Amino acid sequence: MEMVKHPNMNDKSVKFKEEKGLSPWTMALQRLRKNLLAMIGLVVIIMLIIMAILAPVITPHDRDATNTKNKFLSPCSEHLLGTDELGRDTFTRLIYGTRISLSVGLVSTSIAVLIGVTLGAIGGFNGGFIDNIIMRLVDIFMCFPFFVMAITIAALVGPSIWNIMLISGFLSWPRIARIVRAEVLSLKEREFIEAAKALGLNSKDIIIKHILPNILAPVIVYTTLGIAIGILSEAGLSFLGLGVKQPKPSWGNMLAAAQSLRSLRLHWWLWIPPGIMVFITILSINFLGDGLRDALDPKLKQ
Amino acid sequence: MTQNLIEVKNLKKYFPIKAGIIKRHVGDVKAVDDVSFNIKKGEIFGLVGESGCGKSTTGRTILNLLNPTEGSVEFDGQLIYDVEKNTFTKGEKMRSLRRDMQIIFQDPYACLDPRMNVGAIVSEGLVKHGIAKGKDAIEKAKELLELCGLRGANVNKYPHEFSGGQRQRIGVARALALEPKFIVCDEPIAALDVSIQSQVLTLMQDLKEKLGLTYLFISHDLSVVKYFCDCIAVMYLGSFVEEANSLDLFKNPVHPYTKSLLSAVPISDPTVKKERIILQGDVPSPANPPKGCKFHTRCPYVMDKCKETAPTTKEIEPGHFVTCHLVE
Amino acid sequence: MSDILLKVEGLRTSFKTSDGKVNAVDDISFNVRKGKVLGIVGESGCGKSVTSLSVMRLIPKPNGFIEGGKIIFSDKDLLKISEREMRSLRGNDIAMIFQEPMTALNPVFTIGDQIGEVLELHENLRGEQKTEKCIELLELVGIPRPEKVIKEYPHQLSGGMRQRVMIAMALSCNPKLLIADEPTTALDVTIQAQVLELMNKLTDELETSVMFITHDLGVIAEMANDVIVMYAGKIVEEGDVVSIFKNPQHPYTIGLLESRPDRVDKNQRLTCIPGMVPSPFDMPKGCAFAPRCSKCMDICNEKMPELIEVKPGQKARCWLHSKGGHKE
Repeated sequence: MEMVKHPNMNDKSVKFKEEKGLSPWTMALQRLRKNLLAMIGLVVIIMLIIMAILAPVITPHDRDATNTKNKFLSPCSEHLLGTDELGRDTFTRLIYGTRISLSVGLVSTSIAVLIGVTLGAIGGFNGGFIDNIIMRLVDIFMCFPFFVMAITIAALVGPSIWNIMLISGFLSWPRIARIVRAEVLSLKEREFIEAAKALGLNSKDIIIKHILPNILAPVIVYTTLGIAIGILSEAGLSFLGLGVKQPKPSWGNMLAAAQSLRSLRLHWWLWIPPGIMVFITILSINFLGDGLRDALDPKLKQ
Repeated sequence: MTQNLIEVKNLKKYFPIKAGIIKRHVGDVKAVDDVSFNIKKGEIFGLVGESGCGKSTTGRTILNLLNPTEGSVEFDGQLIYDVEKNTFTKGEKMRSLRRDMQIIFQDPYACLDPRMNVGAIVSEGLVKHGIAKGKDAIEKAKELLELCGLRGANVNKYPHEFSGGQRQRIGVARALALEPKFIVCDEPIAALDVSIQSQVLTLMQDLKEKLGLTYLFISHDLSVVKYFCDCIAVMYLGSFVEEANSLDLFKNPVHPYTKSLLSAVPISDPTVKKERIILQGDVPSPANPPKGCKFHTRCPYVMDKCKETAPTTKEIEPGHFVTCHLVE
Repeated sequence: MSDILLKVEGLRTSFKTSDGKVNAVDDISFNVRKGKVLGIVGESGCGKSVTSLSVMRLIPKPNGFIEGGKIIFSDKDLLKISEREMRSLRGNDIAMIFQEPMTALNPVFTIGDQIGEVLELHENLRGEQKTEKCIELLELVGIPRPEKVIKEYPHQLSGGMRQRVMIAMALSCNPKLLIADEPTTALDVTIQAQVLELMNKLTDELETSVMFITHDLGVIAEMANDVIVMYAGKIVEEGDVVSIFKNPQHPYTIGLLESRPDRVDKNQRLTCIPGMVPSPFDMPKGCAFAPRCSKCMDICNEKMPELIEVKPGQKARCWLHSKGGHKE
């Protein structure tokens, strides 16, 4: 690093090095670290992810191995959470279910964010006719109750893990498109965008260099909370038999065991554990999401 | 005679007012309404007026940051646009022209991207125009910061780590990066503290002398304009009411609006008690300006003629233009 | 002494922040004389607004708190009385007007409702009487067609009109003390002139004392009888308006006056106060102004000077005028 040639008169100590700056992202991270609930949420989520990845290592049983002799075993040392109606190990299926549930949440939200950010940014930045079309489309999408739509489509295209991801993704982009559009509209009026224009940057440069980094914060917050919604809708649809199909385990279709009155009364180990997993996951994601919202709040004018 | 750097002819900028579901055009906000002036090389041209008189819009329309409704602007012999002849400079050509004309903003908080560090902000134009890249660009950014009275060591810091005055210096450094000939200064000191205002003004004077710049200085503060500018135009509701060099304008203001504006400025001398011309009422809406002379609703010398016909611009002395029925 | 309406002694107001405690106002004392205008001038962050909020006991809780001192208003210590007593004083004996009249008025009530509410609360007026008094007040502050304006909403009025409404509300109960916190900063010069003239007229007629807070020395020169200059939470100079402007003693006051462009000729450079106001977390050890002062001596970096009388009726906080500095 080069020495600065003319140190300012006001500065008593000559600095030889470039000083480190505190970027808004670093500041947000520092604020997030101070937030206990968000950190607990983060730790739980990381543990869930590790669990999902290391599923074959954690459990000795095969996911789909049936054993009709051992059906409806209550929890014991061999089967930590007992077995189901086909004698499959519930604990194993719960761990593998984490994989399915988390990836459904992640993929469906990614689809929603991709569509939402693109359309929202295009609409907000260009305005006029294109914006009008996009926003009316958003209005139409938002007219229908999410679950009714999801059930209808799932019934039409048939239950499968991919269909669930696509349905959930395609139905939740309008919300994020709205958020992004509103952000872009207010950003567009800021003077630094005008300064960029005056420097000769074209629209593409401006969107990539100035608009996107500045809408990233709300998008991150939304994505986090969106994953929670994705997991919930998977659980809901699978519970109704319209989501992930057997023998693939997901928390939702495991919960479907609770549909039978006998299991509800006698085999608590079939439906309480997946219920608790959904509960913990959603709670953790929401804690993290709220923490991120507070941390990323751009109150940089202090 | 020195050459004109900027020639503005019959510039108009209307913002359409739309109403109803089908966005029917129901009228216009005449933000800039037929303005013509020239700025000589090396001159500081002041544009004064109250808020909403169209001075900022004028600055931005000249730079082609806003699309003109009518008129033409020539910059250094090159035509930027002429609406009548339907010639516009666009795309790459306009972008390369932007190197020569820059803008400094009023709000030191909104004018810098909060997510970019200062080095990236200042060197953005250099990188875009392929003048410098990577390390070279950052080195150049350091030099520019030093030139504007900040330490070059600050290149990795972010806008929120600076005070208002320092941010304004960063804004100046960014504008200077492309070595422009002409800078539009849109109320650059209005949002700063008194002691910081004089620092930024002095910096701008130094830079002008060192780099041979030409400024269009937009301000509502007459005492700053009087001190800072060579030539001053007073704007009211989108039009010039008086234009003269600074000494003439302050010694011999002719238009009643200029007079009242001058008398309204508080002066920092408690022993001087001056005669005030207090204007009645507020500035009318530019969407619906009064008929005839636009100032007649507030003018203390209003005549019948003023309510009917708009006055024409007359040169009462060389270089001193007034638009008022009183000077006929 | 009987001609003193408000006596502030050793007022100290602090704020708790995540980085520690900040003394926004640090041991200040001043008097507001009956029927006179006290101007408080300083840059942003010097504590002038906190001073006025302290007098109103409106420091935002729980982070802000008054640590010590006395605020004596008509023989009562405002810091000792109950919140209920304070509430009846506010708006009745002490009224306040703010910088941004739009945020100070409630957008969903008509002007008549809002003035009427104050009249109902403090003067116990109802029905016809209330409306009459409203119209009378609006007439007093020079609002045209007051019968119509009382039925309008704040957004239907211009900035100057809203500030007039604020003044009307503040004066509705004939307060003894009016606190004006940058009342004209958001207004255009011609409107500022209108509002200042109005305030001058009204305070003369009603013999109201005013605490006038502003950063604009020109406005101070026109409005104030007595002036205090604040810097970094402390009073650095106080005196009557003529001595402050004609014979300033503290280098900061001198610097502020010299950095005004209306005081210098065109070809002269403005004198600048270098640097900027120190951060409240990083106050210099000695005099807070020492790092920016052109006359800084060794002792200035060591110890904070006392506010002492330099001339009869004029005090300054500077080692140049204190024992211990090289001049006596």
